[in-house]
Amino acid sequence: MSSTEQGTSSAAPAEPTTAPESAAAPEVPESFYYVHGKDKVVHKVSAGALQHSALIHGMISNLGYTEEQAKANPFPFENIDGDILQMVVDWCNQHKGKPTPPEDTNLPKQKEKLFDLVLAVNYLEIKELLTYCCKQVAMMVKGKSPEEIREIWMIPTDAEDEAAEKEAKKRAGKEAAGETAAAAGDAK
Amino acid sequence: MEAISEFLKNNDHYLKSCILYEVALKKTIPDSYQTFCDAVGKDAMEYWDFEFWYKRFFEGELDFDYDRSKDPVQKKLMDMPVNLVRKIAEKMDTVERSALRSVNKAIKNVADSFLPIYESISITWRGSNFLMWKYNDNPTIHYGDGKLEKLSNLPGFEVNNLLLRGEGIHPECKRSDVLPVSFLNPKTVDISTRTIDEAIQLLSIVNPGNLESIRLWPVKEDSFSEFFKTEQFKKAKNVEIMSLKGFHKMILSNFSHLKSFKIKLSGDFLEEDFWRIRETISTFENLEKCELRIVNSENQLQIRTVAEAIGAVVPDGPLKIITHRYQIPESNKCLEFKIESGGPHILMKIVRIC
Repeated sequence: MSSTEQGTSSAAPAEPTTAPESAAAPEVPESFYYVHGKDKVVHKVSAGALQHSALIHGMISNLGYTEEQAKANPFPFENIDGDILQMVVDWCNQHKGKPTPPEDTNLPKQKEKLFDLVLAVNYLEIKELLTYCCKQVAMMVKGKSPEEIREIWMIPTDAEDEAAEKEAKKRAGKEAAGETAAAAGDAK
Repeated sequence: MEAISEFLKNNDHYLKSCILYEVALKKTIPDSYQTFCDAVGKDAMEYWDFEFWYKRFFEGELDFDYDRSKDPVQKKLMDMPVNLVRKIAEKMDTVERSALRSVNKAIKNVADSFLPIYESISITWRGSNFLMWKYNDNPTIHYGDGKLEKLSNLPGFEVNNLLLRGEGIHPECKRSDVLPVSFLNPKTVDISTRTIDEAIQLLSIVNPGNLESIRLWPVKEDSFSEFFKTEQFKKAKNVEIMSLKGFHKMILSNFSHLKSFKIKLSGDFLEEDFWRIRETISTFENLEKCELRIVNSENQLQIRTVAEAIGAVVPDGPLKIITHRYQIPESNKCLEFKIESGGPHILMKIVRIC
């Protein structure tokens, strides 16, 4: 038998540890900014909530607006429908200063709204919300056949695509011919 | 009959009446659309137009002459930039994404921009060469000639974990002819069959080159000598054998080349057997960790007996778990033993540490 044993043994339970209490952050007065969509309805949003949007955060970071100046100069997002902007603002307010959860079940279920929301969120560069939205769009077709996916996502078949392309070319040709004829008429 | 379809198709109000009828029946939109297409043909109305009118009627808006041209243009997936479509496809798993390949050319291009790497594919043999398979955690069972071949021909196709299940495999059947070559390079193979011979048959089709881990589920026979001779076992780094009966203690030396292994040992154990186990394992140069489930045929093993036999200093009183560190002679490495009492067996977890 070997005599080189140098074993050390233990059977002690692990001791509980306590985390030190974190120091309270000093309170800073919150600043607000104003945004509106296509419907011109103005939303008042805190800078903290707007931090979710990389686009808006970049716009406001160097402005140093007073409350009056901010109110007088709302950020216009004419390419976003009013109800969609409202959804975005609500989401930013709900998740202000909080770590975003792995799932968000409060997104719209109707595809029309969801597609609009994806485009708006992509434009406003809200990374976490975009991830949720894309996941939600992907979930719409979970377990579906290619035919069902085509219907749900409103994707044309290759034949429909080709027909639409031909039609567009035909229309463009007709329009070009019409413009040439009109120009020739004007010249006369 | 043909004339009636044409009659309906050529009158917008008649078509909308058909939709209204479906709404009244409270059928789902896809089912209603199917009935509608069966009656008047698919070319009468696109699905999303049908869906629009169905929803309007369902909400009580019954104006057949409603002018949709003033509605905001409805966004479609194809209106999105490609990077967004790709981001959506990224949220799907490999199996779901494979369905996108048949949707249309543009979407197929997006789907093809992801490598078809499957985390796991479970393949079951029934009788002769009838195959069924499942992807990842998806419970849907697939079968059909040529489908696996088609899948394996996708550029970049890979399976990380191949689960092979055999239910009464014909001994003459040549599995390597059935399964496409690109399936046979997994990192992990997990085999469940009735006999060890069937398990070896399935294991032998897997290319030993990439194979790192083998897991075997309980089989009838306990003679593993042929299994230990396979090239796949000799080149593997991790092996797990969920044997019901358990191996004889002398079998341990077969596992000397592995980084990790999990096995069950059973038989009559004397105190010196545990010392011998410790000495044998301390010679395994490549070992990182292993797990031995030890069952004594005669009496239930006591954790104290096992711990003392490997040189642990055991405190008085009842024990549930004990840790012991053993310095390997003429080496700067140690073996850390964690011995747990698990009812009828003793669980010995060993980690080699520097």
